[in-house]
Amino acid sequence: MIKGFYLLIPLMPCLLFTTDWLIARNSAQQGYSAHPQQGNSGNLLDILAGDARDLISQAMISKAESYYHGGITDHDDCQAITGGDQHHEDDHGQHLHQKHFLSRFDPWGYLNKHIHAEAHIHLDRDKTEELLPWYWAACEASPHNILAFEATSYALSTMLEQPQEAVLLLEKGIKHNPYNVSLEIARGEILIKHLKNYKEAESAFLAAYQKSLHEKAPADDMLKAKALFYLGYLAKRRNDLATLHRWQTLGKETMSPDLISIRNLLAIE
Amino acid sequence: MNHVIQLKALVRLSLLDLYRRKDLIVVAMLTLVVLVPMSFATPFGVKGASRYLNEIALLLVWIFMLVISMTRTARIIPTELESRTIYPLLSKPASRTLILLGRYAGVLMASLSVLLLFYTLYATINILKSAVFPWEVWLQALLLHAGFILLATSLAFLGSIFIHADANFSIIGIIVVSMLLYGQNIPVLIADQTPALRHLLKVIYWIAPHYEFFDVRTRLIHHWPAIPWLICCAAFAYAVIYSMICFGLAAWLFNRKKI
Repeated sequence: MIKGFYLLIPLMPCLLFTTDWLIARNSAQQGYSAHPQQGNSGNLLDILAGDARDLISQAMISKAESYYHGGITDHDDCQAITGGDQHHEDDHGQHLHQKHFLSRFDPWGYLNKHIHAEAHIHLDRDKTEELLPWYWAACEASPHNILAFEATSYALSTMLEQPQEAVLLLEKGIKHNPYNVSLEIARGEILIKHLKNYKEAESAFLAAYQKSLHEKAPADDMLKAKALFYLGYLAKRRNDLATLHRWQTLGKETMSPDLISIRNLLAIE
Repeated sequence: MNHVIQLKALVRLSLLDLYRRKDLIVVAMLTLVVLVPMSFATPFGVKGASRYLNEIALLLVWIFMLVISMTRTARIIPTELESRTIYPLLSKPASRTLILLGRYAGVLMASLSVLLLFYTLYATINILKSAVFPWEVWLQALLLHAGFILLATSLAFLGSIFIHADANFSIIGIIVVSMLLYGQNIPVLIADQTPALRHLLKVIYWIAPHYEFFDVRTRLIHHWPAIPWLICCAAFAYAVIYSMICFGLAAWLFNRKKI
């Protein structure tokens, strides 16, 4: 039994690779999508996991979030302490214990409270790389998880100061989700804020605006308004007042003036 | 003195049995197959992430330790009975309780030796990779994990007296996983139940083995400060007392058993 088990270890990767290759080859020849929701990339994970990939991806995001909070899952975002070494045992996390049926004598609760970490902290900036494996896994698990791409690109550009990597990741996300508006906007924002590449940013916001008009894109006025605002802002930046007025008129005529981005766009002079 | 010699012989037998069967080599190979490719990964070209590796390594240690210790313990008595090797043991000038204690102590020692090996490897790799290592938390994690093994094996040992090994392993496995996941939240769950269910959950809360006391992986991985030693020792004492009760019950049942 043990000898047979040894054989399985080198055999398993070979078996998986061969299965993956055969399925990819077959589905490419047949021209069908093994999993229409996730798209057929010929990837074994696509075929085996299907929509479960979204769940896996969400779980990876949650894991990254718990890493940001020192490995703790139950937390809220009030009064956090930044700094890995400044662990502070506060009242946080005691919500659970307040509801105890045994408020006076509960030795097990007392032990649990002292054994398990309960303070609310945020990860040190210089340890942000610890989040990346989970973010990477989230993006790989489901290329259609927009939140994964947005959160990862934010961590890369803002926390790790690697905006080039963030843009590359967003481009990959856009390739997988060609009708998504928010990825284009996230790309444009990084190009403006971190790379100062205004020309590329303008093309990103233009693409976002055009996609927002496409029927396949989910209707989201906030994103459309945001794209319009940035287009107006960039036009103003290069003193192209005619274009600015064109975007302002478009915003005024087609969008609700209650949207903050539209108000900001109209305020540009 | 005679009892001690007999006990030592039985313990030695279990240790030899574990290391002879090469289970450890299989476990070590599986760990390497999982961890080595991961250790070379640099997501988005950024190096320096290590906590995810520590987390996966510790998860594997927990799973392997549970499987090794539980399968060994659950099979002690049923195997002896099936292969009829229990008869030469019972014919020795030793009480049934001593035989039971010897067999249990042997499996426990073997499991704890594997645990020590795993934790030493974990510490060695971490020391080689980073300058700072939380020794105190590591020591507490080791002690509490030993408590966990003590608790899990004692319950499996008690089960092995009257249930088949596979059923025993499955039942204890379910109890362990359930308590690890929900043990801490039982008081919160109780509040929303009907009175009858509330009483049942209260009984479960008081008597079920609280395996969740012993899981301090988060503290070790994310560099949280150490637990007060008094609390740590209290949790370990809980495991010792619980396992003593389980062993007492097992001995009582085994002495009454017709073989």
